[in-house]
Amino acid sequence: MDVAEYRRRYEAELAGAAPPESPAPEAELARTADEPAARADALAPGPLDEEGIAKQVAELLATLREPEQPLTARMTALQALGALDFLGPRFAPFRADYNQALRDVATDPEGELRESALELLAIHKDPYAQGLLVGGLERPEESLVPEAKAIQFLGYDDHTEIVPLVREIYDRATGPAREEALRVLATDPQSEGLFMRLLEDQAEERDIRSISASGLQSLNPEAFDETARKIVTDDSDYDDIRATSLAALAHGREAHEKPADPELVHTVRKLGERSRSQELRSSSRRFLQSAE
Amino acid sequence: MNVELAIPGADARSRVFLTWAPVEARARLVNPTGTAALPVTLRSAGSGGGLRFATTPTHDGTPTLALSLPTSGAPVRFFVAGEFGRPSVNLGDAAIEAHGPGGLGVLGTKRVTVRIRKNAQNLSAGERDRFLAAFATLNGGGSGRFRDFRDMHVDAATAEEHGNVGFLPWHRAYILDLERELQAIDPSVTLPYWRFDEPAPNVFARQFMGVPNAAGRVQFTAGHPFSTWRTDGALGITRMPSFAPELAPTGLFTEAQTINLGGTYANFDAMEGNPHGFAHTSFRGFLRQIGTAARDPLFFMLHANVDRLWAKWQWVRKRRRPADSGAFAPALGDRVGHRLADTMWPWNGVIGAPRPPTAPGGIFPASVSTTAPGRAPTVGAMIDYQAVAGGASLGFDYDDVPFEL
Repeated sequence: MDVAEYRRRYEAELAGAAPPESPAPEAELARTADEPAARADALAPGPLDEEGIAKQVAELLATLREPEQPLTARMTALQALGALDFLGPRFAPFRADYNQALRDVATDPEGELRESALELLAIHKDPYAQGLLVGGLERPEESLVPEAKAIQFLGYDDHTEIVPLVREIYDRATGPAREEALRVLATDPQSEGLFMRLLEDQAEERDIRSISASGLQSLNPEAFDETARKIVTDDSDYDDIRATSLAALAHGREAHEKPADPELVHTVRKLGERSRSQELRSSSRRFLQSAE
Repeated sequence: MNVELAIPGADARSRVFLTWAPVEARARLVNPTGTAALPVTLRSAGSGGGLRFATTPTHDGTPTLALSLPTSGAPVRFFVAGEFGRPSVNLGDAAIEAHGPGGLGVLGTKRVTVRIRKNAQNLSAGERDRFLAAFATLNGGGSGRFRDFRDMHVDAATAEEHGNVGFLPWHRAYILDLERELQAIDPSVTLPYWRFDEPAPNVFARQFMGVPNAAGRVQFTAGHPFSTWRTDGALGITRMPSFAPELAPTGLFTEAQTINLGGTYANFDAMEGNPHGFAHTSFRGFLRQIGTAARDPLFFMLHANVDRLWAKWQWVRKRRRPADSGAFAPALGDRVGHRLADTMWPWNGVIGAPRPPTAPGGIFPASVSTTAPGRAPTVGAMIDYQAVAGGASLGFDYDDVPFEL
């Protein structure tokens, strides 16, 4: 490709593009309130100096907190504040106000906004948000987010004392909440036996078995290796579970440094040759490549 | 009689990797016959990657080059680079052939790889799968070397990495460090970029970066290398995009708008807020916060695009020389770690205020292809990544950013 010609074409493209705009004034925000795309454009941070950041943060916080604003505007304000948060030290002067605004909307009537704010607070292990989430799990009538999301958000803090509660939830939950509970239990050494049972149980849901493979590998890699080998070589088991087990063996702890077990390599080679499952063949190929 | 082709920077298996930046190579006759110098023509002859040749460093190389090789066996210098627009797809799919005159035919061949970072949306299945496998291996089920990369991009290190002029150089070093670790596992791999101002349905698919379920947990095809992804004891990846997979996120500056932020670095680095920050917050889940973003492999593809935008701005504005005052800007508050001559944490191993309390990961990894940027890179070492001003390049390039003097 001719570089000079490439430059000419690219410069023409740039010349035809609209320049980035400065932050929109409030009147503009109000005018575009019902148009999500236009509002997003209006609320997106432009090139800002320190004074500009302060002005825009104030405007965004006001939009976020204002119940009369359309949800799209409040969600975009939250997104824009999060983007400014990536400025790190430049956003630091506003962080306390930002956190308070997140707490304010954590109990907002708008579920989507509530959930998004609670996640941000939970990532920062905010005790107020954690209290709300635990309260919702203990007293479902008070829950602010679906049970699965509450467990997931609490899982951002691996030091929370929620494992006993999550164990209780696991025993009664179904669907996504059960899966999220299992993910949290992967930090609980006492759950090793549970993961082993679930992984070996061919009658169990496949997603649950996949999560259990990862959980067992996390808690006891040696036990996982042994169980996974049995699954990989068991023709009566499901191909997707065998493929997942094989992937975990191929990319697990120290897999890159350790010499591969020749017997397993031989078995996997045969498996790849005879299996009709595309997933299992692909997984076998990747395992063999990693064993080279 | 043969022609020996020597390109510096071969790995232990004699494999050579090129980018768009020309490197000095040599050709010489081995076991010559006769006494007259032999006219030889170098040709780009690979099935995949293309090559360009010249006798001086240039962006204007040609697909063939005539050389006259003395019978003394003395080497003759030439320059070789990847042909812009024709990167490799597989290892060794580019080649230099040395053709003799008349019926002598091919007297020497050297296979090489034109190793270039590509748009993730356009990767071949093989390129995609090799990248995923190498990444999963680096993660090692949560306890591999990838842990260091997560520990580098944490809240405690924010002031090293964000909110100041070193944002772009630091992240350039960071993703290059990761890419070199991936290449140590599979040398055919480069870090692809997620072009966040365009739809990328191939990226947000179960075969690649996955698709979230109702709880925002990313689902992959069975046997996918990330199907048992773990980081810091947490199982899986949480990522819920605010846009449909067949669309691009809204609210982000386009590439042209980003490049048009201004002609100097002081203007251009406003891109840290938009599109960079907005790309992060186009998702719920790990990506939306500094401290958790690096748990999601997509983070590195997002930052490859941020770096590509900087590279493209550097190219189109001709701002690649550290000595050019428009190519960089003074550090806000004169903060250490953000000035041209400062070494960057964590590779410099410096800990204690104002630096973070720990320095995970050790020194910057070496490359067989280049000596740059050294064990403890400076901010300034990240700017002229193609070595336009001379010296050693950083050993990477993007599929849509040419080398141009």
